[in-house]
Amino acid sequence: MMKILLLVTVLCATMAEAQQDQRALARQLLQGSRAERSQALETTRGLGQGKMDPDLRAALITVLERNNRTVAEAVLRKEPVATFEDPEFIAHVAHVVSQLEDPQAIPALAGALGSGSTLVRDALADFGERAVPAILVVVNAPETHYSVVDEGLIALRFMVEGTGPRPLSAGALDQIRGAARQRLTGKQYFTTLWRAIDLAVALKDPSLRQIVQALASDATEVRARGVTNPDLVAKTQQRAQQRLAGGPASPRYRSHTERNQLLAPR
Amino acid sequence: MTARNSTNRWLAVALLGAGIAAVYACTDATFDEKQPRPSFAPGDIIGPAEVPRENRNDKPKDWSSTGIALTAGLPYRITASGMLTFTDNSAYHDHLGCTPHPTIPSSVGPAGFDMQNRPWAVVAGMGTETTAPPGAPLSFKPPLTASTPEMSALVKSPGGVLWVSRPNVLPWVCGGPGFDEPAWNVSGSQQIQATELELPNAVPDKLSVPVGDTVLFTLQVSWGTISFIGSGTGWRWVPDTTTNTSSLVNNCPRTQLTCKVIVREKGHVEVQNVNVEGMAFDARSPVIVIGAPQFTVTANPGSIASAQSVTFTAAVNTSLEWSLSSWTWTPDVGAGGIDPNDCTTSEKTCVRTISKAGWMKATAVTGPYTLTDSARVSFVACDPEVEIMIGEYQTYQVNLQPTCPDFTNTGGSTHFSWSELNGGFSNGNPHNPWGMVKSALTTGLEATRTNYNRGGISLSSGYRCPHGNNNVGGVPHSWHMHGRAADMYSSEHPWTEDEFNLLKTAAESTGPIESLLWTEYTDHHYHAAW
Repeated sequence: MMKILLLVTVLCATMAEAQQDQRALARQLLQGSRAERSQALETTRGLGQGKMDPDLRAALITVLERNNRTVAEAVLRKEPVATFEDPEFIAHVAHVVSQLEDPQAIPALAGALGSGSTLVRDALADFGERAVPAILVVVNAPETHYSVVDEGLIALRFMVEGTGPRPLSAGALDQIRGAARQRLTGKQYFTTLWRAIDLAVALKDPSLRQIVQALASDATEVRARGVTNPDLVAKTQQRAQQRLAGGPASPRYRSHTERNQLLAPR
Repeated sequence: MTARNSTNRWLAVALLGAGIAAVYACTDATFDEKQPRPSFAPGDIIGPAEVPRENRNDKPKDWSSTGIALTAGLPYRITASGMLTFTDNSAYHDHLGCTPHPTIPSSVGPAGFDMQNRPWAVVAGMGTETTAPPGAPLSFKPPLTASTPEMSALVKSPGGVLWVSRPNVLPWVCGGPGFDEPAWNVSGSQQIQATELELPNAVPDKLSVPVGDTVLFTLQVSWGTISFIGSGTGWRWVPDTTTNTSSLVNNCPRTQLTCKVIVREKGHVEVQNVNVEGMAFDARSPVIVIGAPQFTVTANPGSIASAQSVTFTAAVNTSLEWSLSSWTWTPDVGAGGIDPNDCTTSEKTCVRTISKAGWMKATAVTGPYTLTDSARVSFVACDPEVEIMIGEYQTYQVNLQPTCPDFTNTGGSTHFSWSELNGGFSNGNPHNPWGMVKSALTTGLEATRTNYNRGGISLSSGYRCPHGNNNVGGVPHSWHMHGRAADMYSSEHPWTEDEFNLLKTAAESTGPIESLLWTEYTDHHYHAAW
């Protein structure tokens, strides 16, 4: 009996110590110096998603949200992000949060589509339909920076291609078609137009396909979207033609396991 | 000096030599009687013994014993060596009427002169301790020329002692009343020795086998060619037990120099009359025991200087079925060091990229036996500069524990030079040319360049050591320190936002983990990591 009591006491003490460590990590993530934040982030990543307690997860998401605001503000001010925070650190935070598989992180991840972490779009695609509204918010907002829109369109394409846990509902698909249509029309940055073409073809929607066909065959259609550089016009048409011909879109989706392997020091 | 004096002196030398030979022979005989003759093993040299000679060209030398005793039935290589010098005797020409002698080489080897009957050739044969060889002399192998310093003959000893002689000489001598002058005086020495050779062996492909396993025996001998198995019993299994249930596959006819035996008890094989270089010997194999088969794990290469592909092979020397139950990679330090994943039990040959020193252990199961073996992968010594770099990873608490082979001082890819990928101090690596560039980076960069299809890409930063990364203000866990990141520009087009995004789009098709934006840095470089 005494032995059991002793064991329980030791276990409780160990758990309390671990909780305290994670609280310290969370504090460092939120309040530490540049070096401390980076070290805490790396320690957190090393723990693995299964061993993080809710406070630490929440701290990570908070840091990501804060970084998202920093990036947005820098873009708004037309100042380099590096002036406010190290861009690589911002990407690293997004890497770690993207591997949490935590639905509570969806809005923050959608906001981190322009963080420079290419893992965010894959992670959002893994959530499937649950992540669609958050992505659509950033993709549909006219003021969203093109690089964020581009990443959102890629994430949506991954979902349409069937990477999520279950097929998208008709309603979600309809909303995605709407987003694709919006980004295929009006003035767009050339990369946004390219990602929208990829999504439109993946959706297999006749009316969207018609728009892509028009872009592929008529340079004036491309110029009408604000892409006027002749070289970029030609490249846009070439891309549209390749997709219509069945050429694969890139980048391709990477699974959670693949992403973990990419993140591991090697 | 007169001719007479000269002759006497040579005679004295010859007598002295004969005396020494006699003493040697007596000593040897005494040794033989009182103590057991030392036993020899294949490869041992018996001798050498001096080959007696006269001092003048016209005197033959009769048989004399070398004292070299050879065991009956064993093969030996008999080797005679050394050069004799023939000096023109001026006194020969002092006498009118002496026939002019031909010109000969001034030195001659044991094969004698290149004339009929090979004058001054060493002739050897097998006799007894007291009796000169009764039969034909040994046949020394060509090339037999005057200038050959060494000649040898193979012999199957009938038992006895090696004898030598010089029956043929150069006949030029001039004599008359009061004088006897050879054409040449002879000096120098020659030796003869015997090397014991091994009997032909029936070499098995394994020594310990489970019951019912097949062993392949191959007749082998190192010193000659086995041409055939002569008459006799041919291949025969000889059990060391009372039972004899092993069997020769297809009865192993005498026409075969190999034989497969299904072994069911301890024993060996014997083969009669194996013909080697015209001589017949009996061959036998080592004893085959019943037991666990041999399991070996090998690593090729077993020593590497940088992270590279290593082939691990698991092999069991049995014809019976076997399977692997585990592969375990254990690095000397920490974890990992194997890429992309541990070997699986379905792989008897497993190829992985190894980046740390360590051991690969495998376990195999065959019949009742569970066998294990390990192979080591080691690294060549670390350059002192690399030791410093490794130390920096600890000092700066980087989330990577590189080891010596992770670093190289050369490399690069088709379109990206090593100095560009590895950088100099200005972009974070004062240890250049030593650096660490992962293949993921070079592959990603080359693929990006292909996709970009707009000419060259220049790098403003590639690998950074931790100290250099800190100096340039890099983030503490930057992929630059992992050799997986690069900062890029177009080297052929004005660096505009559009150009940046063309390059970024090209890079993103190659699957980078990081792809930063135009808005990130003041200088708008494109940072990507793979």
